[in-house]
Amino acid sequence: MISVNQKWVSPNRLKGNLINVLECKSISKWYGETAVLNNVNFDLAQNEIHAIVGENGAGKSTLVKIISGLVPVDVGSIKFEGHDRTFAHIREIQNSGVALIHQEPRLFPDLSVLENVCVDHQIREKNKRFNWKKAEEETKELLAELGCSFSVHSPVKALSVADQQMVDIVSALRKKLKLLIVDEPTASLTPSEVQRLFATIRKLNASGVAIVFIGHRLEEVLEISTRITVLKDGEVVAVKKSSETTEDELIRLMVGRNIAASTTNSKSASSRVSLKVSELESPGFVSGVSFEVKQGEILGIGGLVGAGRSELLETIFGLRKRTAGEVISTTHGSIKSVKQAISAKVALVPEDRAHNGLFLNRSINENLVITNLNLSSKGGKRNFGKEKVVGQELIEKFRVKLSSASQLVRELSGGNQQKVSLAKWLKQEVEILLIDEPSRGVDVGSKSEIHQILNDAAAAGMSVVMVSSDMRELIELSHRIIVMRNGRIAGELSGSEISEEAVLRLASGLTTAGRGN
Amino acid sequence: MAVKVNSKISYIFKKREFGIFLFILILLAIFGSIEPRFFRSDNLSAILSSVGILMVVGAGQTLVIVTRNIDLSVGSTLGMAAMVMGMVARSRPDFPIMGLILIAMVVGGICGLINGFLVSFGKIPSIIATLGTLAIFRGAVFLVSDNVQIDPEDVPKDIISLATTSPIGIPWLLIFALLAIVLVWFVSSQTLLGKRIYAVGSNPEGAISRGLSFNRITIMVFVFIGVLAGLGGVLYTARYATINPADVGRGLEFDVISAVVIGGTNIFGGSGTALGTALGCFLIGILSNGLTVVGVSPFWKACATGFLILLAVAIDNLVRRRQEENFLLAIRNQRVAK
Repeated sequence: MISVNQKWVSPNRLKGNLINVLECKSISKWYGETAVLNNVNFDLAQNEIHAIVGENGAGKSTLVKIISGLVPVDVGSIKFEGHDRTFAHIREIQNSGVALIHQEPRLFPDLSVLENVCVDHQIREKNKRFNWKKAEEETKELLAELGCSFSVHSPVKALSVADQQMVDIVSALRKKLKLLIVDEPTASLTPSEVQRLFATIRKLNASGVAIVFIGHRLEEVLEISTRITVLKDGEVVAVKKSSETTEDELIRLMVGRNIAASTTNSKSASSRVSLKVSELESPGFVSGVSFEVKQGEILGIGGLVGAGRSELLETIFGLRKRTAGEVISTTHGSIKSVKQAISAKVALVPEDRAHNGLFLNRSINENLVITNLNLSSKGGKRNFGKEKVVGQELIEKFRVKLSSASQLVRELSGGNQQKVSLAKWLKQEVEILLIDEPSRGVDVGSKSEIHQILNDAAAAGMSVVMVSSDMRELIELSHRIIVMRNGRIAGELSGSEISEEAVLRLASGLTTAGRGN
Repeated sequence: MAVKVNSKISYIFKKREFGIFLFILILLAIFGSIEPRFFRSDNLSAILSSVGILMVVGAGQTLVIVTRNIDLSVGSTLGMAAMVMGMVARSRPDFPIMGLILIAMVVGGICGLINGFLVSFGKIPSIIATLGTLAIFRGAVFLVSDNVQIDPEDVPKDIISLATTSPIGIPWLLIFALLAIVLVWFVSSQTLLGKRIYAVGSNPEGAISRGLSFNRITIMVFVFIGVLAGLGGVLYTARYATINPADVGRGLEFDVISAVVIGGTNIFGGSGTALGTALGCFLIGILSNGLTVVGVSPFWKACATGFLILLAVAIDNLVRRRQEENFLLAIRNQRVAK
């Protein structure tokens, strides 16, 4: 810990004058004809953790990409430590001590931890070979300081997302870090992993690294930051001290309208069981899982990342091979394959929508109709006119923000992508919806809309099985919660038993007695 | 735990290379039992010569494929380099052999540079870019040579002796091949440059966001394979003593890419080893020679080669997938145990 402090104390801090490390003046950026950023000012003092919040598409990610040199700025100026860096090359910016940690860690899955950390190391002295031994020592030291216990030689693809993020941070630390930008780092982390990350961020900040933090979970943002800039539609609407603001105020500023922070849940479901899962087994991920879902019920599945929740959904849907157990839809019989699942009106909305849920390089409309071709085609021939009608209906119903229905899905923000991936299933009469992390990486506005959609669907008689790491979402939306741990059901909570603490205790194994056992 | 995980990883890779090795032994046994002449020393040295040429070019192709690219133009590049070198030797019989080798490597390097520029700055997918240059370089071979072949009497004796004379028991041709393999092994496993090459193939977007010079690395691997194809041109000349514009290096890309893929290099980039490629070259070389020696008709030979390539890769994929699953499972269990 001492070494952390010694290594990253910057000269400015020693002198005691808190000048701005970073000053961005009237930044503007257009993509085509849409202004993503409009006249944005942003500054950052040495000892500050400055958060940026805003809805998806507000321009947060673009702003930090501009700061870190990934995207060129159209208008405006950027000064870093007093030097003009407006048009600097990405490598120059990185070498001056700026690092950007993305939402999803940008690592090299085939390389080991050590290789990932060192790959962009600059050899300064000529004719000097890179010292792997020394690099290994230093990397081990840094990992130990951050409380990581994995081997530096294990391939990165074998690590959990949280551990991968730590590798990403250590990669940044290997250089003389002065400014660390973390873009939505907590989206896929469990609460304890979030705390470890925050401890790391605070430690770095205390040792003189300025931090820019982008986050969607406002309680986390308030916890970690000292100052908050609120962006809306590419413009700064407010800069607040974290100690002087509240979640409600931030939400109001972000969306410019009042959102019901918690959707009311009637918590009523019919008594008719629609899906029966018994003794489901998928080696290594799911073992002996049994439960029932009633019609019109939202069943939440809680647990830590890696507890087998996503794998459970995949096994139910027939994507993952099962070795034992049964999945029975009470109206359509046994489900063994994806094909049977679909004909039994089961739908799966996966977590990783970019890879599994959407065709990123196709238009919004095509993505929407792909699951509904039976409504817009005849005898195997597409009817483009009908497709447009079907698509338009869904776009309006789900309030997808777009410039045209022929826009590529790739160009949409995370929240809108999620809406498309939900919408394409909900046109048909889906009876059982399996949904994985419905609001991962989604802004507050879209999130409450997605929640509303799920509530409406349940009220209309759909059974929803929802995996979520967002505790609040899980508790507010679910009628009943099953908590998983190590591939098994650790317990079941319903009614008044449901609380954040109860879920956490089951997930981490503190309480073993649960009704589900 | 670290040691355990490590040994497990190396176990997987060793397993793969061991599998190819076994397959080679089986082929040797089959060919040898059908046709005892297969093991005669002149036939074995013929195999080694063709394997050597494959290995030199395959070493370069490994790194190209690791970066998610492919070089289809290697045969034409080899031909171009051999032809230019042969013409210099014909007009200046006293030209020093080192100079001739250098000329071939420079010509190859220039071809590689052209490919590299097309792929990096031109943003043309390598499969298209090198398909174009495959035809262009071949055409250039005809143009510069005026469709006149270099006859054996015009090829310097020093060049031919590269395939026959041996300083330490193995001919120069094979020494060059082994050096190329060792060089690729060294770069890929011991240097930062090597890690960057693998990083670019493993996650191109990540490489850019980490500030790695994407274009430079792409150009570098293409120049590297070009230079090696140039050297391959020298070895080809040493072995066949004739440089015919229509024949020299024709179809080489098929054998080279097959060898690299059989050797375990992931066609989607990010992984692959020099040792695997070397073994893959042996497999291809032995297969094509053995089928001829046991008297399989050339038409059937082409089918059989293709079929065996698919079989080898399919079996390997099955085995590898299972191993990777078990490996991830083991890591997971360790984590749970903690």
